[in-house]
Amino acid sequence: MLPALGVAAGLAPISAAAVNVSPLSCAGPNACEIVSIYTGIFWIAMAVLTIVGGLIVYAALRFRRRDDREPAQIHGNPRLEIVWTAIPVVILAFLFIRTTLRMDYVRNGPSPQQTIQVTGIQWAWSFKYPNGRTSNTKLTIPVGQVVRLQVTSRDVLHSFWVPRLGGQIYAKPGFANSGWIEASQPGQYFGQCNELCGLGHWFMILEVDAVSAADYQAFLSGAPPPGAGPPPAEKATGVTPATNVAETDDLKFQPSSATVKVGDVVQWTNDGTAIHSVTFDNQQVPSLDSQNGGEKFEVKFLKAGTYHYICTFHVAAGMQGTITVTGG
Amino acid sequence: MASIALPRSEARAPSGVMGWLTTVDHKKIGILYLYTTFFFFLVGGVMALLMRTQLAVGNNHFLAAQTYNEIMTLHGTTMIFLWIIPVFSGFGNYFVPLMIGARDMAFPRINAFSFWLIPLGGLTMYGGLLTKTGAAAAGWTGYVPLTEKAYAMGIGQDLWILGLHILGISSIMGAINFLVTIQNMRAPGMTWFRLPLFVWAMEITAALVLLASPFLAGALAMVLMDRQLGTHFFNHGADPLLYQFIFWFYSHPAVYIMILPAFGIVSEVIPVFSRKPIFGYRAMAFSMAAIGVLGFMVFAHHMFTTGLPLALQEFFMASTALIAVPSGVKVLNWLATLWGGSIKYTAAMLFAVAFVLMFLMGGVDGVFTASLAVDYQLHATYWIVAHIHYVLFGGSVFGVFAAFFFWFPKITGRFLNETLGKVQFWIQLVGFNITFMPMHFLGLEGMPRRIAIWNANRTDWVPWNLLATIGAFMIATAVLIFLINFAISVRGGRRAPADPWEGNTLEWATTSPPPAHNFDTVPPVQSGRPVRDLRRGVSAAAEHA
Repeated sequence: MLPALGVAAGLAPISAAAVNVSPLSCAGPNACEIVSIYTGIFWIAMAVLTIVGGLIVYAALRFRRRDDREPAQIHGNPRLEIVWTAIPVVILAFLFIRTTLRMDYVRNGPSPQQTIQVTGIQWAWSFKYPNGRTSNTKLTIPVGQVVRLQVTSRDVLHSFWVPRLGGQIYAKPGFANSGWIEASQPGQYFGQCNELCGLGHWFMILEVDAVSAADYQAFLSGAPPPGAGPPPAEKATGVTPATNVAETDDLKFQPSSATVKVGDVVQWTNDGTAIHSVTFDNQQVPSLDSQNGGEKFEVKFLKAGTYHYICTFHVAAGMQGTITVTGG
Repeated sequence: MASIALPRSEARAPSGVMGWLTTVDHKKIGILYLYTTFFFFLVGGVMALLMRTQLAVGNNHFLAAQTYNEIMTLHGTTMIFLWIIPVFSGFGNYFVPLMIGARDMAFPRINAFSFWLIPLGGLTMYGGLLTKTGAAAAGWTGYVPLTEKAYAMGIGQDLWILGLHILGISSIMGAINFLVTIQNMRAPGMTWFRLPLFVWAMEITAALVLLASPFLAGALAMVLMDRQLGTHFFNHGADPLLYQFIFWFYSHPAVYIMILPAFGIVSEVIPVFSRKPIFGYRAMAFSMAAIGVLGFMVFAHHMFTTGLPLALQEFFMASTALIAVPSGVKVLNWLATLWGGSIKYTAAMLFAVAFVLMFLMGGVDGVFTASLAVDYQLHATYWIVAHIHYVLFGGSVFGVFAAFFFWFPKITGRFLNETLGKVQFWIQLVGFNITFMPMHFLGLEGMPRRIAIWNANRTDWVPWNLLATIGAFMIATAVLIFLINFAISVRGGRRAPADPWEGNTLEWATTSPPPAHNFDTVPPVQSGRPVRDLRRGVSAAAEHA
């Protein structure tokens, strides 16, 4: 049985502010090149629609039956027919050449300054940066740099698509497809999976954060943001856990809420075969981006409070939990 | 050429319900096709309304995501395999023998069998809805690996495959029947270039069905074996694109299977109500043949974003551009047929002219996605949903309604109500454009298709989604008016004579409705418009010399 949906709160990772994901509002050279090709086709298409559509409407109105006479019985006109076979050939040849000349740029692009591995997993995107750092759902890139994406999938087909930065890149299990994006301005760019991938397809969201080169380096090194206090939790290994939370194949954290004391260690164990993540809303709490069947993950909590976390892959199916830390 | 008297043989046919269940008469089978497929059209339409209700606003939870995915899958599969493809078999069954002056189809019993497989296939597919795990939910394209056992555990997916297999067998047998009938059973004088264009369309369609359908059957059989017998055609490291290649090798020609008969219908309706011969008859026949051949060479344009080598993509971009040429020729020849005509706007003619305009729109927006770069941005967005509906609804389904109004008098001996027909037409035309024009804008604003719930923070999607939903209910209203019109007219409509529209083709030479044996005597065929020749009482040879 498939888990019931309906966790409206699961929309949390994306801000509530209006979001523009139009490929026409291009924000980088790849997407803007496509807009320029699109615009050329648009004007030709408008001309064809206006002329041919206008003639059809004109003929339909002008030649209404007025009397009972039979009109001239014209069976054809080979010369005319050759002309209106040739005109579309010329127009389409132009469109073909216009597109073909720019395809190497659109598809392969300039030589990349960064290469990032992208993996689609039901139902979240996972990113691996050149230095081994990983993230889910949110991809951080340096602004103004060509970023090559090596896209693959762990299960079914997905499609990586951030419309304002470039076209779609298919994620196929067992194979890698490459494409490139570049953001001209710092900012957040949104998208979502564009190939039906099952129950949570509608929720398989994407966010690209284009940041300055310095911020990108800081992100890669994993340094805490300046001004942050001591972290409320840290990663632990080899300590006896106070509580164990199981991740199950029916897409639940068991138990979904647990209470521990300051200084206690919580352990998450993947009891099934599906992939999960333990991703805290509070970015200062260590998160785990992907956890396969049988793997364990431990966090030691140092500060009282309530910590909400989700599995980024299955939040649409309601897979979330909280840890309440008391005392201290 | 003298006319030939055909034997009468309706003596022992049972009547009533048994008559319908056991009939092998092509006209009764045609009527069964039309009733059955229209029923499925209504079912698919209700599914569309459910989807549009779900998508009317963002963050909507009217349908659960699983339910949405099932309905979306069944809507596409129903409209393609249980409505558009077989409804044309219905018209073909009824009118191809009449138009070529034949007594029946070549294989009447196979014909009945082809028909009865259609409700069986449909109900098999819908059977998934009754299972605990639900019906198939992987889209009408059924891409692997999503349809593999690991990701679609329920039996709904198996039933969907079996249903399509049954429908495929029906199509293939029907196609053989049409090909043999048209090849062998034409009346004396009915040469290839005197064939009505609708018959040409059915001939080419049947050839496409015969050549392409086995590929779909093969792809689906492999998925079924993967699921049930543990084979590894499409899993365990196999390239999932293999399925897509085979699937589209069928499904692109299938697009033409769904539109060519409508080309044929419109090419019959426009000349009759313009009182002119079709402009460039041979160009119309050859362009359909060209579309049929080129239709096999464009399939990978459905896969531009899958990472195929650039050279291959460019080949398919070129072939896709090329297939726009014969389509353009057809539009311009319809225009030239209207030009200088004496046009009478019956409901049938309104639908036929609207067909040309909507098909033009569907052709032009298709050219955008023929361009590789543009397709990288528009593939699998609502732009594609708009495109397919401009071709298959604004095109094919408007063609079907033209055919209903045009041929209803022949089938029943009564007219459909013209006023209701015109009211239906305008509501349907406006509703259709309000539904699908905004989907172009949704595509350009980055809305992916097949998402069960859209995020309400995409504020520029809000007005278009709402409009599309309003338009969908307008279309439903139009269809409801048609049903009322049908209910009134089938028993109480104005009586129709044998040739109510000043028709051109042989079906108008017999009574309305035709007798079981079709013709007492088949009229002489001396031109492409034998019934016009009869009306004028002149030898066509003089005019066409």
